[in-house]
Amino acid sequence: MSFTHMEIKTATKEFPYIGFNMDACLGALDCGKCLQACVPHVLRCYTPIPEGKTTVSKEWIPVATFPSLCTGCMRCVEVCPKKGEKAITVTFISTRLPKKIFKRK
Amino acid sequence: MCEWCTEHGKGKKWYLSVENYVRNFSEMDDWLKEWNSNYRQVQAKLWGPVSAEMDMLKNRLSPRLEKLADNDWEEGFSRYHSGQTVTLDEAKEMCDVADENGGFVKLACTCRKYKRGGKYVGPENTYCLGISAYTSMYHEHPERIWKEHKIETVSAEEAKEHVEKLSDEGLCHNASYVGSPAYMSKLCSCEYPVCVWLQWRLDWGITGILRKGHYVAELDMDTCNGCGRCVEACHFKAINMSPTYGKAIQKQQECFGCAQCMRVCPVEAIRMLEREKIPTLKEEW
Repeated sequence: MSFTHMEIKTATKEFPYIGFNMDACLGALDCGKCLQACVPHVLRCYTPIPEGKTTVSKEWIPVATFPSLCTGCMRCVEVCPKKGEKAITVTFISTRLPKKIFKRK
Repeated sequence: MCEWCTEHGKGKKWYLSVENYVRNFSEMDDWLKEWNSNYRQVQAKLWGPVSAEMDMLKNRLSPRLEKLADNDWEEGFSRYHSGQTVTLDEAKEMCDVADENGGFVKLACTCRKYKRGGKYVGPENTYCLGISAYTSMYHEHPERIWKEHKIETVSAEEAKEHVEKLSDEGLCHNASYVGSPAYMSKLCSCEYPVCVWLQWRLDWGITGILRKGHYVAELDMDTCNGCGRCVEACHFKAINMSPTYGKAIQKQQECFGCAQCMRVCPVEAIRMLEREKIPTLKEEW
Protein backbone atom coordinates (compact mmCIF):
# COMPACT_ATOMS: atom_id res chain seq x y z
CA MET A 1 0.00 0.00 0.00
CA SER A 2 1.35 3.43 -0.79
CA PHE A 3 0.11 6.97 -0.62
CA THR A 4 0.17 9.23 -3.62
CA HIS A 5 -0.20 12.64 -2.10
CA MET A 6 -1.14 14.45 1.02
CA GLU A 7 -3.76 17.13 1.28
CA ILE A 8 -4.15 19.61 4.04
CA LYS A 9 -7.74 20.52 4.71
CA THR A 10 -9.29 22.31 7.58
CA ALA A 11 -11.66 20.70 10.02
CA THR A 12 -13.74 22.59 12.52
CA LYS A 13 -13.25 21.94 16.19
CA GLU A 14 -14.86 23.38 19.28
CA PHE A 15 -12.15 25.30 21.11
CA PRO A 16 -12.83 26.68 24.59
CA TYR A 17 -12.60 30.40 25.13
CA ILE A 18 -12.21 31.30 28.79
CA GLY A 19 -13.07 34.91 29.53
CA PHE A 20 -12.84 36.93 32.73
CA ASN A 21 -14.82 39.95 33.86
CA MET A 22 -12.09 41.68 35.84
CA ASP A 23 -14.44 44.22 37.42
CA ALA A 24 -16.43 41.44 39.05
CA CYS A 25 -13.40 39.28 39.96
CA LEU A 26 -12.31 39.31 43.59
CA GLY A 27 -8.66 38.61 42.79
CA ALA A 28 -6.85 35.34 42.36
CA LEU A 29 -5.02 35.29 45.69
CA ASP A 30 -7.92 36.44 47.87
CA CYS A 31 -10.52 34.20 46.28
CA GLY A 32 -8.93 31.80 43.79
CA LYS A 33 -11.86 29.38 43.85
CA CYS A 34 -11.81 28.93 40.08
CA LEU A 35 -8.09 28.06 40.18
CA GLN A 36 -8.60 25.44 42.84
CA ALA A 37 -11.61 23.93 41.05
CA CYS A 38 -9.76 23.39 37.76
CA VAL A 39 -8.74 19.74 37.50
CA PRO A 40 -6.46 19.90 34.41
CA HIS A 41 -4.73 23.05 35.76
CA VAL A 42 -5.74 25.26 32.86
CA LEU A 43 -5.99 28.40 34.96
CA ARG A 44 -3.22 30.17 36.78
CA CYS A 45 -2.73 33.56 38.34
CA TYR A 46 -0.23 36.22 37.39
CA THR A 47 0.62 39.83 38.19
CA PRO A 48 0.06 42.42 35.51
CA ILE A 49 2.75 45.04 34.90
CA PRO A 50 2.37 47.76 37.58
CA GLU A 51 2.80 50.81 35.38
CA GLY A 52 2.01 49.22 32.07
CA LYS A 53 -0.85 49.70 29.73
CA THR A 54 -3.31 47.59 31.58
CA THR A 55 -6.84 48.28 32.65
CA VAL A 56 -6.61 45.75 35.48
CA SER A 57 -6.30 47.15 38.98
CA LYS A 58 -6.03 43.83 40.82
CA GLU A 59 -2.66 42.62 42.05
CA TRP A 60 -3.18 38.99 41.10
CA ILE A 61 -5.55 38.05 38.33
CA PRO A 62 -6.54 34.64 36.93
CA VAL A 63 -5.62 33.81 33.34
CA ALA A 64 -6.18 30.75 31.18
CA THR A 65 -2.84 29.29 30.11
CA PHE A 66 -3.83 25.97 28.59
CA PRO A 67 -7.26 26.33 26.94
CA SER A 68 -6.62 23.20 24.89
CA LEU A 69 -6.58 21.12 28.07
CA CYS A 70 -9.98 22.47 29.12
CA THR A 71 -12.67 19.83 29.11
CA GLY A 72 -15.60 22.20 29.55
CA CYS A 73 -16.70 20.78 32.91
CA MET A 74 -17.81 24.29 34.02
CA ARG A 75 -16.68 23.76 37.62
CA CYS A 76 -14.86 27.10 37.60
CA VAL A 77 -18.08 28.88 36.64
CA GLU A 78 -20.10 27.03 39.29
CA VAL A 79 -17.76 27.87 42.17
CA CYS A 80 -17.46 31.57 41.31
CA PRO A 81 -18.89 33.38 44.36
CA LYS A 82 -20.16 36.30 42.31
CA LYS A 83 -23.95 36.44 42.32
CA GLY A 84 -25.80 36.87 39.06
CA GLU A 85 -23.37 37.28 36.20
CA LYS A 86 -20.24 35.29 36.98
CA ALA A 87 -16.74 36.70 36.72
CA ILE A 88 -15.58 33.77 34.60
CA THR A 89 -17.22 32.50 31.44
CA VAL A 90 -16.41 29.48 29.30
CA THR A 91 -17.73 29.57 25.76
CA PHE A 92 -16.96 27.29 22.88
CA ILE A 93 -16.04 28.75 19.55
CA SER A 94 -15.78 26.78 16.34
CA THR A 95 -12.25 27.08 15.05
CA ARG A 96 -10.73 25.68 11.92
CA LEU A 97 -7.87 23.26 12.43
CA PRO A 98 -5.60 21.97 9.68
CA LYS A 99 -6.06 18.28 9.16
CA LYS A 100 -3.79 16.09 7.08
CA ILE A 101 -5.52 13.70 4.74
CA PHE A 102 -3.61 10.91 3.06
CA LYS A 103 -5.05 9.52 -0.15
CA ARG A 104 -4.43 6.01 -1.28
CA LYS A 105 -3.41 5.03 -4.79
CA MET B 1 26.38 17.32 27.40
CA CYS B 2 24.09 20.24 26.75
CA GLU B 3 25.23 23.85 26.50
CA TRP B 4 24.37 24.63 30.10
CA CYS B 5 27.17 22.46 31.43
CA THR B 6 29.66 23.82 28.90
CA GLU B 7 28.65 27.44 29.51
CA HIS B 8 27.87 27.44 33.20
CA GLY B 9 29.77 24.48 34.58
CA LYS B 10 33.04 24.27 32.60
CA GLY B 11 32.17 20.81 31.35
CA LYS B 12 30.94 19.47 34.66
CA LYS B 13 27.45 19.52 36.11
CA TRP B 14 26.48 23.17 36.31
CA TYR B 15 24.35 22.74 39.41
CA LEU B 16 27.29 21.37 41.40
CA SER B 17 29.74 24.03 40.24
CA VAL B 18 30.67 26.26 43.19
CA GLU B 19 31.00 29.34 40.95
CA ASN B 20 27.27 29.37 40.37
CA TYR B 21 26.64 29.60 44.10
CA VAL B 22 29.02 32.37 45.06
CA ARG B 23 28.16 35.23 42.74
CA ASN B 24 28.00 38.56 44.45
CA PHE B 25 24.43 39.68 44.68
CA SER B 26 25.30 43.39 44.44
CA GLU B 27 27.19 42.74 41.20
CA MET B 28 24.19 40.90 39.93
CA ASP B 29 21.86 43.63 41.06
CA ASP B 30 21.84 45.67 37.83
CA TRP B 31 21.35 42.57 35.90
CA LEU B 32 18.60 41.47 38.27
CA LYS B 33 16.85 44.78 37.74
CA GLU B 34 16.96 44.17 34.02
CA TRP B 35 15.79 40.65 34.65
CA ASN B 36 12.96 41.89 36.80
CA SER B 37 11.80 44.41 34.23
CA ASN B 38 12.24 42.02 31.34
CA TYR B 39 10.78 39.20 33.28
CA ARG B 40 7.75 41.28 34.00
CA GLN B 41 7.36 41.88 30.30
CA VAL B 42 7.97 38.25 29.54
CA GLN B 43 5.48 37.37 32.23
CA ALA B 44 2.85 39.69 30.86
CA LYS B 45 3.57 38.61 27.32
CA LEU B 46 3.66 34.92 27.92
CA TRP B 47 1.24 34.39 30.75
CA GLY B 48 -1.27 36.96 29.68
CA PRO B 49 -3.53 36.65 26.67
CA VAL B 50 -0.66 35.53 24.42
CA SER B 51 -0.25 32.33 26.39
CA ALA B 52 -3.66 31.22 25.22
CA GLU B 53 -2.51 31.96 21.68
CA MET B 54 0.57 29.85 22.26
CA ASP B 55 -1.73 27.06 23.21
CA MET B 56 -3.53 27.56 19.93
CA LEU B 57 -0.17 27.45 18.18
CA LYS B 58 0.48 24.07 19.68
CA ASN B 59 -2.85 23.06 18.23
CA ARG B 60 -1.88 24.68 14.91
CA LEU B 61 -4.61 27.25 15.10
CA SER B 62 -2.32 30.12 14.32
CA PRO B 63 0.88 29.31 12.36
CA ARG B 64 1.79 32.99 12.21
CA LEU B 65 2.86 32.83 15.85
CA GLU B 66 5.63 30.35 15.19
CA LYS B 67 8.23 33.10 14.85
CA LEU B 68 7.28 34.47 18.24
CA ALA B 69 7.70 31.04 19.72
CA ASP B 70 11.16 30.59 18.21
CA ASN B 71 12.43 33.94 19.38
CA ASP B 72 10.93 34.34 22.79
CA TRP B 73 10.30 31.03 24.38
CA GLU B 74 13.30 28.77 24.01
CA GLU B 75 15.90 31.50 24.28
CA GLY B 76 14.01 33.61 26.75
CA PHE B 77 13.68 30.91 29.34
CA SER B 78 17.19 29.57 28.78
CA ARG B 79 18.48 33.05 29.44
CA TYR B 80 16.33 34.15 32.33
CA HIS B 81 15.14 31.30 34.42
CA SER B 82 15.22 27.57 33.86
CA GLY B 83 16.20 24.30 35.45
CA GLN B 84 17.16 20.69 35.17
CA THR B 85 15.94 17.51 36.79
CA VAL B 86 18.25 16.11 39.49
CA THR B 87 18.17 12.92 41.51
CA LEU B 88 17.87 12.89 45.30
CA ASP B 89 21.59 12.15 45.72
CA GLU B 90 22.49 15.09 43.51
CA ALA B 91 20.05 17.26 45.45
CA LYS B 92 21.88 16.32 48.66
CA GLU B 93 25.23 17.13 47.01
CA MET B 94 23.75 20.49 46.09
CA CYS B 95 22.80 20.96 49.74
CA ASP B 96 26.43 20.33 50.72
CA VAL B 97 27.69 22.92 48.25
CA ALA B 98 25.01 25.44 49.20
CA ASP B 99 25.71 25.02 52.92
CA GLU B 100 29.19 26.53 52.50
CA ASN B 101 27.91 29.24 50.16
CA GLY B 102 25.00 31.15 51.62
CA GLY B 103 22.76 28.61 53.30
CA PHE B 104 19.12 27.82 52.81
CA VAL B 105 15.64 29.25 53.17
CA LYS B 106 12.46 27.21 53.14
CA LEU B 107 9.46 28.81 51.50
CA ALA B 108 6.04 28.15 50.04
CA CYS B 109 6.14 26.92 46.46
CA THR B 110 5.78 29.58 43.79
CA CYS B 111 4.24 27.26 41.22
CA ARG B 112 1.58 26.01 43.59
CA LYS B 113 0.72 29.58 44.38
CA TYR B 114 0.50 30.38 40.67
CA LYS B 115 -1.63 27.38 39.94
CA ARG B 116 -3.88 27.21 42.98
CA GLY B 117 -4.02 30.74 44.43
CA GLY B 118 -3.62 32.02 47.96
CA LYS B 119 -4.72 28.82 49.68
CA TYR B 120 -1.38 27.17 48.94
CA VAL B 121 1.10 29.68 50.40
CA GLY B 122 0.76 28.52 54.00
CA PRO B 123 3.44 26.85 56.16
CA GLU B 124 2.16 23.36 55.25
CA ASN B 125 3.08 24.05 51.62
CA THR B 126 6.78 24.80 52.04
CA TYR B 127 8.00 22.78 49.08
CA CYS B 128 10.63 25.15 47.71
CA LEU B 129 14.14 25.27 49.07
CA GLY B 130 15.73 28.61 48.25
CA ILE B 131 19.49 28.51 47.84
CA SER B 132 22.20 30.96 46.80
CA ALA B 133 20.42 33.74 44.87
CA TYR B 134 17.18 33.39 46.78
CA THR B 135 18.94 33.28 50.16
CA SER B 136 20.95 36.41 49.42
CA MET B 137 17.84 38.14 48.14
CA TYR B 138 16.09 37.20 51.39
CA HIS B 139 18.93 38.58 53.51
CA GLU B 140 19.78 41.68 51.45
CA HIS B 141 16.50 42.68 49.83
CA PRO B 142 13.64 41.29 51.91
CA GLU B 143 11.25 43.77 50.29
CA ARG B 144 11.52 41.87 47.01
CA ILE B 145 10.10 38.68 48.48
CA TRP B 146 6.37 38.31 48.05
CA LYS B 147 4.73 39.23 51.28
CA GLU B 148 2.44 36.19 51.29
CA HIS B 149 5.38 33.81 51.50
CA LYS B 150 6.28 32.33 54.85
CA ILE B 151 10.05 32.02 54.88
CA GLU B 152 12.34 30.41 57.44
CA THR B 153 16.08 29.78 57.45
CA VAL B 154 17.14 26.16 57.86
CA SER B 155 20.41 24.32 58.42
CA ALA B 156 21.98 21.86 55.98
CA GLU B 157 20.73 18.83 57.91
CA GLU B 158 17.21 20.20 58.04
CA ALA B 159 17.37 20.97 54.32
CA LYS B 160 18.47 17.43 53.49
CA GLU B 161 15.74 15.97 55.70
CA HIS B 162 13.23 18.28 54.04
CA VAL B 163 14.29 17.17 50.56
CA GLU B 164 14.25 13.50 51.50
CA LYS B 165 10.83 13.80 53.10
CA LEU B 166 9.41 15.37 49.95
CA SER B 167 11.09 12.69 47.87
CA ASP B 168 9.38 10.04 50.00
CA GLU B 169 6.08 11.78 49.36
CA GLY B 170 6.71 11.19 45.66
CA LEU B 171 7.89 14.54 44.36
CA CYS B 172 10.79 14.86 41.93
CA HIS B 173 13.52 17.47 42.25
CA ASN B 174 14.67 20.16 39.88
CA ALA B 175 17.62 22.53 40.21
CA SER B 176 16.85 26.01 38.97
CA TYR B 177 18.93 29.05 38.12
CA VAL B 178 18.36 32.68 37.25
CA GLY B 179 20.48 34.81 34.96
CA SER B 180 22.74 34.34 31.97
CA PRO B 181 25.78 33.57 34.03
CA ALA B 182 23.84 30.97 35.96
CA TYR B 183 23.05 31.87 39.57
CA MET B 184 21.49 29.04 41.53
CA SER B 185 18.12 30.03 42.92
CA LYS B 186 16.03 27.09 44.07
CA LEU B 187 15.84 23.39 44.61
CA CYS B 188 12.30 22.54 43.60
CA SER B 189 10.11 19.59 44.51
CA CYS B 190 7.78 19.19 41.60
CA GLU B 191 4.90 17.17 40.29
CA TYR B 192 2.80 17.25 37.16
CA PRO B 193 0.61 19.25 36.51
CA VAL B 194 0.86 21.67 39.42
CA CYS B 195 4.47 22.55 38.62
CA VAL B 196 4.54 25.18 35.87
CA TRP B 197 7.79 23.93 34.34
CA LEU B 198 6.72 20.32 34.07
CA GLN B 199 3.44 21.25 32.48
CA TRP B 200 5.07 23.60 29.99
CA ARG B 201 7.74 21.11 29.07
CA LEU B 202 5.41 18.15 28.78
CA ASP B 203 2.40 19.84 27.22
CA TRP B 204 4.09 22.48 25.09
CA GLY B 205 7.50 20.89 24.58
CA ILE B 206 9.55 23.95 25.54
CA THR B 207 12.98 22.43 26.16
CA GLY B 208 14.45 25.74 27.31
CA ILE B 209 12.41 25.77 30.51
CA LEU B 210 13.29 22.37 31.95
CA ARG B 211 16.04 20.04 30.81
CA LYS B 212 16.29 16.31 31.33
CA GLY B 213 18.71 15.15 34.01
CA HIS B 214 22.09 13.47 33.76
CA TYR B 215 20.67 10.00 34.39
CA VAL B 216 18.30 7.64 32.62
CA ALA B 217 16.40 4.85 34.32
CA GLU B 218 16.77 1.31 33.06
CA LEU B 219 14.11 -1.24 33.93
CA ASP B 220 15.06 -4.90 34.11
CA MET B 221 11.89 -6.72 33.09
CA ASP B 222 13.17 -10.09 34.34
CA THR B 223 13.42 -8.81 37.89
CA CYS B 224 10.22 -6.72 37.79
CA ASN B 225 7.35 -8.19 39.80
CA GLY B 226 4.65 -5.98 38.34
CA CYS B 227 3.66 -4.10 41.50
CA GLY B 228 3.17 -0.85 39.55
CA ARG B 229 4.69 1.50 42.11
CA CYS B 230 7.09 2.97 39.57
CA VAL B 231 4.16 3.86 37.32
CA GLU B 232 2.61 5.86 40.15
CA ALA B 233 5.94 7.48 40.96
CA CYS B 234 6.74 8.67 37.42
CA HIS B 235 5.71 12.26 36.70
CA PHE B 236 6.80 12.14 33.08
CA LYS B 237 4.61 9.32 31.74
CA ALA B 238 7.71 7.26 30.92
CA ILE B 239 6.56 3.99 32.52
CA ASN B 240 3.37 2.05 31.83
CA MET B 241 1.96 -1.25 33.02
CA SER B 242 1.86 -3.77 30.21
CA PRO B 243 -1.09 -6.20 30.39
CA THR B 244 0.71 -8.55 27.97
CA TYR B 245 3.71 -9.08 30.20
CA GLY B 246 2.05 -8.29 33.52
CA LYS B 247 5.03 -6.06 34.23
CA ALA B 248 6.09 -2.46 33.91
CA ILE B 249 7.41 -1.32 30.56
CA GLN B 250 9.31 1.90 30.06
CA LYS B 251 10.06 4.39 27.33
CA GLN B 252 13.57 5.63 27.90
CA GLN B 253 13.21 8.56 25.52
CA GLU B 254 10.65 10.09 27.87
CA CYS B 255 12.72 9.56 31.03
CA PHE B 256 13.93 12.69 32.83
CA GLY B 257 16.13 10.82 35.28
CA CYS B 258 14.56 11.91 38.58
CA ALA B 259 15.19 8.39 40.03
CA GLN B 260 11.85 8.31 41.85
CA CYS B 261 11.00 4.96 40.23
CA MET B 262 14.28 3.51 41.49
CA ARG B 263 13.52 4.68 45.02
CA VAL B 264 10.08 3.06 45.21
CA CYS B 265 10.97 -0.24 43.52
CA PRO B 266 10.80 -3.07 46.13
CA VAL B 267 12.84 -5.61 44.10
CA GLU B 268 15.55 -3.25 42.77
CA ALA B 269 14.63 -3.83 39.14
CA ILE B 270 15.45 -0.24 38.17
CA ARG B 271 18.92 1.24 38.03
CA MET B 272 20.11 4.62 36.84
CA LEU B 273 22.49 4.88 33.88
CA GLU B 274 24.51 7.91 32.94
CA ARG B 275 22.99 9.66 29.97
CA GLU B 276 26.41 10.36 28.44
CA LYS B 277 27.04 6.66 27.99
CA ILE B 278 23.86 5.92 26.03
CA PRO B 279 24.55 6.78 22.37
CA THR B 280 20.97 7.49 21.32
CA LEU B 281 20.05 9.49 24.39
CA LYS B 282 23.17 11.52 25.09
CA GLU B 283 21.94 14.47 23.02
CA GLU B 284 18.41 14.30 24.45
CA TRP B 285 17.96 17.06 26.95
